Amino acid sequence: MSNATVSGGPRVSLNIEVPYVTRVEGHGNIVIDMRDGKLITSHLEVVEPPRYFEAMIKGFSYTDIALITSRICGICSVGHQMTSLKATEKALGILVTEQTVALRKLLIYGATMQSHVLHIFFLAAPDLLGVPSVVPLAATHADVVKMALRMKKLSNDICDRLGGRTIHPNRLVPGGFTRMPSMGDLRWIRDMLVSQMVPDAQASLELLKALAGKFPAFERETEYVGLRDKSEYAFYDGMIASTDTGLTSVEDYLSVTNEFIVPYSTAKHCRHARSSYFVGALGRLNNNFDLLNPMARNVADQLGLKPIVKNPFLNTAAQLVETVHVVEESLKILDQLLAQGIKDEKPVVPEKLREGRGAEATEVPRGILFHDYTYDNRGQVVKANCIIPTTQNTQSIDDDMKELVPWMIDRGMSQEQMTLTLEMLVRAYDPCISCSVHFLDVEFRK
Amino acid sequence: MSSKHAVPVSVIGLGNVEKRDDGVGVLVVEALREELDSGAWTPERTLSMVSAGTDSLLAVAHAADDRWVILVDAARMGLPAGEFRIFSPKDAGLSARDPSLSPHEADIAEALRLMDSLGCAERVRILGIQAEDMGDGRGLSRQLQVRLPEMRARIKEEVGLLP
Repeated sequence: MSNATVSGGPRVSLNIEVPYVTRVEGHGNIVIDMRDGKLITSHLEVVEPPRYFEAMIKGFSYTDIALITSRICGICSVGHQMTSLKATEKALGILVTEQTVALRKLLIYGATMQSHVLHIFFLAAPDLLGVPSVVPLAATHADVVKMALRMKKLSNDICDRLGGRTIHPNRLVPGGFTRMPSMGDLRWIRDMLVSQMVPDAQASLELLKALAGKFPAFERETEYVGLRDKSEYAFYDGMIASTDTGLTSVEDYLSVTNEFIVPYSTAKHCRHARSSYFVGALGRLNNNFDLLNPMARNVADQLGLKPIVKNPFLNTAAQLVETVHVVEESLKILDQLLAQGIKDEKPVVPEKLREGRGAEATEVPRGILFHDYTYDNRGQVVKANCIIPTTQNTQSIDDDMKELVPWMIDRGMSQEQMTLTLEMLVRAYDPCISCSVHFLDVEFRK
Repeated sequence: MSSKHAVPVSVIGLGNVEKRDDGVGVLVVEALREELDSGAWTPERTLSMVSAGTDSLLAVAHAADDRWVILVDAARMGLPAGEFRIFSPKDAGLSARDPSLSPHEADIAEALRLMDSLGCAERVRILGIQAEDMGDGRGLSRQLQVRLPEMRARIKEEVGLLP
């Protein structure tokens, strides 16, 4: 539902309210206050209460931490678990095997496929196709919805076969896996990626190419941040890369995130070289473009993506590029594992518990994720810090809106078009505001 | 697994195991999966046992894949704790929290609405289990815990009954 008034001319004033906008995760309000052509306020208010995970895990054993922190998010549970395990292992001096790293990467790639497919088809596509949600889309474009569900199911099946569950996997522990996938599991995943995911990704590309003109042609100069590894497009490991300042070690992540609070939001904001920075698919793409696999590079070319991509709406297109990239990367790992066979390795355990601190980062679908733990000599957490991608993106959303509102007015957009475009902007970031509520209110204050 | 029946079945456990009885669907399905993996249960059809957590959209994905789907979930049905019923979506009044589907942890009513739009809701059965305690924490209420073997047996029976 939308109620809005716009008085035109050079001194525009706006008053629009849109309660219960769906297709973002969590509860936030867009507030635009424009008076006589002057933009007074343009920001995303996050009104979710803090969840206190960092305080909650104090006193828990290192064996429990990843299982608890994976509950921060039902969509990025694999990413939280992985980042948590890496931070714990670094703190306690646990070195995992190459096979463990390979299997973990496969899991991250599966989770990335799943989340990206959800965002492309269930969050973004309804806007591009002019329908309010995926339900009416199912009536008019059943083949597209079924394809998206097929891609989602396969991605979930990959996580299930490797991690024991589709979300919140229960086979991942510090030092490795409690149970290995069978060679049959690996062959099945490989066969399905080749026979199903690759053609479905190709069909997705054709669909997105057909809809490319629906993305607003809005651009804003900003800083893009993502992990960068030496030899591969970074998801599992790497240094922090910025399009403005180059590389920073993960141990120094606080010098990049620079969290600060704002009076209108319960979410912290972040800034680095500029007033804000962008993390997510575009953050990765703009820092790793030269490391894309061939099919993914071809998808990027066909979608007209070339660094530095400055249009935040194209984060959705970058997600499709990454979907293809992680399929290719998965096939490389699977071929290697199938050639050498799966060893029945037991999780590596620390020889002796010790005091220590470990800060680690992983790329989850919405951007770079940091977990930082300090342990005592009994292996219990005494201090923790988790910085999620949406926290890092909130200021970037605000900064986008500051330029997007005048951009829309200059183009003579109607009140409905402006409201939809603002919602699309927030959705383009694919924010995980709380994992508990499904509403975003948009209010233009006169 | 042999395939006497042509249409495969997905048994999907929904819920959050960190919210006590809310996780009963996941726990039932994981116990059945152990039976399958160990060879203690050898059904005569192709079966998938899925711990979907709070991802109801995954149930839609299975239904849209031309399968029978048995959803196992905690429910408020006005019955004594631990009682359970199998029913079809059309037999139950399920209300969505939100009138428009969100893919982030869509609830079961939203998911069923999408299944209906895709024409696959007819192949869905729901095993609803009356919950007692949905507070924070792990482990089931005693009333549910003692009924777990009956719940597993009822699902096995339903798997055999489906065409």
